[in-house]
Amino acid sequence: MTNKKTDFDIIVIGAGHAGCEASLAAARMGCKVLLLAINVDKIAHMPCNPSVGGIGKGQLVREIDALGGEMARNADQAMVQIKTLNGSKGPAVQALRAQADRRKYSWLMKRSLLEVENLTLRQGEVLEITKDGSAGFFVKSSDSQSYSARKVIVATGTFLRGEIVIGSTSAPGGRAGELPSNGISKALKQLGVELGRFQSATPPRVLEHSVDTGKMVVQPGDIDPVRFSFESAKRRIKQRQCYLTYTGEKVHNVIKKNLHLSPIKSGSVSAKGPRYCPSIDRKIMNFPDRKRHPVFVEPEGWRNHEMYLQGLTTSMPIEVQEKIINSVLGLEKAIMIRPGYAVSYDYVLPHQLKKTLECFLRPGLYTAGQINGTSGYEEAAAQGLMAGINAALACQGKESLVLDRASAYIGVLIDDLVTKEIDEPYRMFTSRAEYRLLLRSDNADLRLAPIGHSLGLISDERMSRVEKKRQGIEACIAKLEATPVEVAGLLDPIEGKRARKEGRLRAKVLLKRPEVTIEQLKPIVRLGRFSKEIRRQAEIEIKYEGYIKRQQSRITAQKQFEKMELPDIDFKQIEAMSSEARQKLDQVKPRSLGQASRIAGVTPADISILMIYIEQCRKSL
Amino acid sequence: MAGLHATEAASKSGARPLVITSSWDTAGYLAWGPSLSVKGGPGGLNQKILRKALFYEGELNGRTILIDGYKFQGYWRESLERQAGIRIFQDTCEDVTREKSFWKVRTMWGKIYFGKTLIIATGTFLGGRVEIGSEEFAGGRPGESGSARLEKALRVLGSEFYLTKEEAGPIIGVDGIEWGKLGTVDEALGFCWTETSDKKRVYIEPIDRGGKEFYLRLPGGQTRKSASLNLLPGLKKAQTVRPAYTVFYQAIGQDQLRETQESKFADGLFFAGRVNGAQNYAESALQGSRAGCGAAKKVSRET
Repeated sequence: MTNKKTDFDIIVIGAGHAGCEASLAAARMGCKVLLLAINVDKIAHMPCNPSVGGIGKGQLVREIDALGGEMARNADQAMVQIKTLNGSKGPAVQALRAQADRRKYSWLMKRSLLEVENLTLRQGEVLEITKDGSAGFFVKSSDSQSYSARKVIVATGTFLRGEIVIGSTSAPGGRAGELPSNGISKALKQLGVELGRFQSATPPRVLEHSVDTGKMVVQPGDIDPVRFSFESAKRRIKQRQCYLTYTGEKVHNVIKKNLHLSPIKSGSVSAKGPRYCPSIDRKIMNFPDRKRHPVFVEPEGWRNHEMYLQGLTTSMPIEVQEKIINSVLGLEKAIMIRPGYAVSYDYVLPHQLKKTLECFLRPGLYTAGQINGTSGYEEAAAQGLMAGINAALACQGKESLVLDRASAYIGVLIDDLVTKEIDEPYRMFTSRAEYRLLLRSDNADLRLAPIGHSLGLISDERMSRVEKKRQGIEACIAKLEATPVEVAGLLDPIEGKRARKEGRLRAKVLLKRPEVTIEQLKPIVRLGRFSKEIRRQAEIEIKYEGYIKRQQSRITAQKQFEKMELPDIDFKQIEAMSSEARQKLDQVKPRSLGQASRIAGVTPADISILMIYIEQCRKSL
Repeated sequence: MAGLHATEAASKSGARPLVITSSWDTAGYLAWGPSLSVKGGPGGLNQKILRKALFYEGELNGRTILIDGYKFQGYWRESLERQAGIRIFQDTCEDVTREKSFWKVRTMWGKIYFGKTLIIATGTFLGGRVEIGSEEFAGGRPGESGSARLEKALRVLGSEFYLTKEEAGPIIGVDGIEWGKLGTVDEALGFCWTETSDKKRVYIEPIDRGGKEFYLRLPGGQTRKSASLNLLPGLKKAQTVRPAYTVFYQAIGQDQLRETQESKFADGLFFAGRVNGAQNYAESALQGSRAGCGAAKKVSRET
């Protein structure tokens, strides 16, 4: 049977955010793809908050778009509100966040899947994954069909042996109301993949008409909204409002009184959960002095009249959940429609993966998304896209695509996953990126569209628009460089005296001053022919020129260091190193000095010892 | 279908209903495809919502309509979510007992509710088992768990059930359909038909406007042959998105119920929809409305 032609090039298991991006990318690159979904009516479902983006995450969405992924376009079409976060701060930490219509998002994504050639979407629970000689894999599904493929991408989210917990009750489930998948955990173990256990949770939802928004602070969307996709039309859209309220003493007392009933206290939820997204019970336990915690009350769609209670995540017994909700200002009469719950699930320890997201042990087997120990739709989609691209490249016998930490947040995400020790669900933050001033949300297309284009995921037409934008920015900077400006005409009367002495200065030099904006210079330097987007890019490049240059030189130095390959070393032999570092290095087996330096538990001192050791090895050869 | 109509009717009749559902996301899901044959009007279906979701109306073996499932579910959910007198709770009902003059319902997550009347509108979920090809598993629809415990509780209360089955046709994707080889009902919508070897028509029904999925309405008793779907003219390269399935479940006979859908043996306990053998959406809706009105009347009489 080993010579038999396979049914598909790639089988993607799971149609969440990772599975959708993986199958779309691979099919668009010309591979024959089968996407197996446990329920075709829950495609790209957002079981937690139907929101896309946020700080660090918004950058990922923009990068997905620049590489030809779907999430940004889909979010633009399905959004009910969008805003730029950190708008008053520097460009490196600005990010978009949208509130989406959950049903519409799912419907649109399904439509995209069905429209793409080479892609077959099918409902079925996977019962078995087995190795098919050297040719590939067999996947057996609950509709009594077996499929063969050269590559398999497992993107099953929280469904692996999923267990839902509320209070002291627990029941098998991947998401509320949906059955878990037990066959895949077994199949992965049989294939030699090591699994761990994580936990995630979601807050209760309440009916909109029972919420007194009059007592809350209105959180409107941006008046002049930016869109996620560089390709979406920039038009004004109708938006829905979000609201902000706070917990108070009353809420905290209810929780303190019932803390013994909290699953995190009683131990029925023992798996590690995301620290940055704690349940309200944990917040009260960990910050006993805080007088109040914010609660964002957010709509879940256009025709949806449930409200999401961001900040009130809990898996306490239902009666306690109701008491907590009804003690919050504005939620006194709120009616709960869905209870909050915690879900624990198996995940793949990601150090078993290459940077292509392929398992070291099982060539041809990829894992992507929450199954790799991440949290969040955006992190999942980014991994799905990369797994799909790499599985397709491997099918076509082409070189794999690995984005490094200096070129994309996606690179940071995957590098962190496969090298660092992940002891809680991983979430992206801007602080995780060393070169965040270069990896901005606003320049993702300039950074990554050429890669998307070379993969065939970005059309020639779109690529030429990106190229034109790049040239525009260069021309705009050149114009600012070449044009002298009368300083006195620009500065305000108080500064005027000092300014007069300065006479004329080049516009570019002036723009570096914090108080000068490019829009002030626009009429003087005559920048009207450049679009606002281009002017903004030129402004950032000029204002942050020093920082950008510094980061670039650090990247060059890092690349030298990074490139230094490690020969086959028995790390356990290097006795001068700390035992923790030896253990970690032996576990990860880094292939370069750069990778070794980023392993958690390996200190700069350990790296110096390692460098000396390699030098000695070389000399003795 | 029955549950939504029962809730609406009960609320309209002045009662304050509570809906308990295992999944509010699948409320109003059109499991048996988008089409409905209607004779002289769409029966018991809520007119206001139907008008917004209907996207085809014509003569095909009598009057036939197509309902956009995406919109239908959206409007129904919106309609119930906005009525202050209606409560909705997503949880699975596991136990029902009689306590004095109340029905006591206990859910999987331990919530207890008391109601003066109780309407069971569980469709194909009561003791449901789904069969796809040679595989069989517990559940009321593929991927959704059934309610075995509720069946037991209702039996204890004296209800007698019989085993019955329903068959859902396959859903196929747009990719691979050879339109030129199909007969046309409505070209713009992609509403078409093909024929089996014994000249029986198979309708290819779009499940929503602008969507890319089609429900295959196979002639009676043919869902098991969906493996041979690709033998049908025009569907040689068609791709199944959701396979056809058969669901076996427990239903209650009409002989156990009064005209109001109330049980003859348990006071204030109503059954409506597929669980009472309803054969289509209109019949389910009608039974649901009848049960909702009946239950509301009973409540108002008692107070």
